[in-house]
Amino acid sequence: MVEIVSDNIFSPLGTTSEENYLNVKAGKSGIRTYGSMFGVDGEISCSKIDDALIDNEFRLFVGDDGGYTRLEKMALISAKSAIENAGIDASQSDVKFLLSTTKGNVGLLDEGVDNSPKLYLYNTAKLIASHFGNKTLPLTISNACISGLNAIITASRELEAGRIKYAVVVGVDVVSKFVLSGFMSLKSLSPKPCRPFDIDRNGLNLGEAAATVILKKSDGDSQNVQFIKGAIRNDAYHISSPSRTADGLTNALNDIINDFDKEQIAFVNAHGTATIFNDEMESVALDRAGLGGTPVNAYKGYFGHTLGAAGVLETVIAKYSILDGTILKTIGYEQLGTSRPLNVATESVATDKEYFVKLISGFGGVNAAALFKKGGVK
Amino acid sequence: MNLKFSYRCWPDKDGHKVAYVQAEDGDYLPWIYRDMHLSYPKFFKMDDMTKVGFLAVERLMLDFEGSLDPKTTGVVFFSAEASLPTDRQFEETIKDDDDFFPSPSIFVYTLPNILCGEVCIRHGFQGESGLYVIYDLDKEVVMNICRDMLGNNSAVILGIVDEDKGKFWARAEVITKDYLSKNSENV
Repeated sequence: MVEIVSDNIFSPLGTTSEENYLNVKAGKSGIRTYGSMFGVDGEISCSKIDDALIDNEFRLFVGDDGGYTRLEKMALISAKSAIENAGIDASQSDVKFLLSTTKGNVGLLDEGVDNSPKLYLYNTAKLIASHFGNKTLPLTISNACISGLNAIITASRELEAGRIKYAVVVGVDVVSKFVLSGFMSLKSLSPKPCRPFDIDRNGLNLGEAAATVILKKSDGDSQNVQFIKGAIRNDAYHISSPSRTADGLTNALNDIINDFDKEQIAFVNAHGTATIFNDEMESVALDRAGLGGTPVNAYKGYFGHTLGAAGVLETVIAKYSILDGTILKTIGYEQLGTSRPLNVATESVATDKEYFVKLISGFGGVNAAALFKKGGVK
Repeated sequence: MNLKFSYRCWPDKDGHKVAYVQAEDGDYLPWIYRDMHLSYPKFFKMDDMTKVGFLAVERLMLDFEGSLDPKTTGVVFFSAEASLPTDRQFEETIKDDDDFFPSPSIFVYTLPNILCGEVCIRHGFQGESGLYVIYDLDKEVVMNICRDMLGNNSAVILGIVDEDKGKFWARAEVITKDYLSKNSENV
C-alpha cells in the first residue's frame, strides 16, 4: 500500500487541487467552444489554460521563464506546489520523478522546430527532476491515455519494494495543432462540450492540465488517501478501437476487486471520454465485473480529456471527493446511452463509503484500474 | 561486413535467448519480414519504429511460441527516441494550412505504445503492456520494472527499440521470475 502525501492540479479550473475540486463541485467547467484553433476552422470545444495565467504563475511561483515551453512551465508549477505542500527535499536520491505524458513538447514541431532536444520526452522528465536538484534517473511513461494511472501504479511498486522513499508523479499534456488535428483525423472530437455515457454523446474534448501526486509507502494508519491496488491489462484486440468484449478492462477490474466486497465502493470514476466506443466498452466491463449498480461518474465534462495528465488529475479529484464524502455528478450526462446498465451519477450526492475505483483506457488496447481508500481507518 | 539488415536470436552464455533486429534504413524492414517468411499483412501499415520492434518479437517468438500463457503475458518496451520519427512525418500532413490533411493512419503511430498493442494483438497477449522513455538504459531500472510486472504477469516480453540517423534497431527477450532469480547477481 502507498499513500498520497500531497498533490496539485493546474488547470483552467484552478491552480491548486482544492480550488479545482471546489470548482468541480460547483459544477464549473473549463471547456469553451471556439470557432477555429491553430488555423484549423470549425467548431472546436476544449479546455485550455490562458497563456497569461501560466506565465504569471510561473514568474511568481517558480522563477525566470528563460526558455521554458508552456508544457514545461505547467509541469514545474504543479510539481513545485505539490513538493512544497509535502515538505520533502526532492533533491534526495531516494526521491524518484515519474513523468506521464502522451506527446510532451510535440507542439514545437508545429512551430517548425524539428531538431530540439526538448522533443525527446525523457528530456522533459530530466528537466523537471533537475529543476529540483534531483539526479535519480527519472522515468517517462508514455502509454497513451492510461499513462497517468500507469505512472501511479509503477511508482507504487517502486515504493512497496522499498527502492525509493518518495515518488513525484507528474502528468502533463497541452493542446497543440499536432494533437488536435490527430484527434480530428480520427473523428474522435465532439464540436460541443462532451457528454460522457449519454445517448447523444459524439466524441471527446481535449483539455490541458498538469497534475502531480507525491506518494510514499504506507502502513495503512495514516489520514492520507491510500492506493490499495492497481492493475494494467491489454485487450489484444485493436490498436485504436476499444474492445467490444472489454476483456482488458474487465481483467484489470477483476484483478483489483476480486476478493473485495463491492458494497464498500462509493463510486467508480470512469474514463468516460464520451466517445461512442469507449463509454460503451466501460459499461460492458463494469457489468461483467458486477459493478453495474455502483455509482459511476466521469470528469471529462469539467476538464476535457487531459491525456497524460488525466489519470493523475482524475485520481486527485476523486481523492478530494472521497475525503469530502461526495460522489460528484457527471456533467454533460442526461440519458443513458450504453448497452449495459450503469448507475451514472447525475447529481452530487453524499456517501459514507470509503473506497473508490479509478478506471482508464487508451489506444494500444491498454486499460488500467486502481482501488483507493480514504485514510484514517485500518 | 556491412549488412543492410540483420536479425537473429542467440542464447547468451547461460542459454538465455535474445532476439536482435537492425536495419540500415526503415526501407529494409520489409526485407526482414520477407526473409522470415511472415504472413501478417498488418505489418505494412505500421511505422518503422513499430516494424522493427514487432520483428524482434516475431523472431523471439519463433523460439517461444506455445511456451507462454498469452492471457498473463505482459509486454514492455523501452525507447529513448519513442515515436519522434513518426511525429515528424505526421507534422508534414498538417503544417500547411492550405494542404491540411492530417493522416489518421500516421497519427495512431505517434503514440509509441502502439508497438506494444501490435505485439499483443499478434500473439493474444493480455497481460500488462507499457512503454517507458528513458535516456539511460540502466539495467537495474529496466529489470526492476520487469520484476514488478511479474507480480501479476506470468512472463514479460522485454523489448528495447530505437532509431539513430535513420537506422532502426530492436531487441527482445522473455523475462520470467525464474530467470530473475537465477540471474539476481548480474541483473
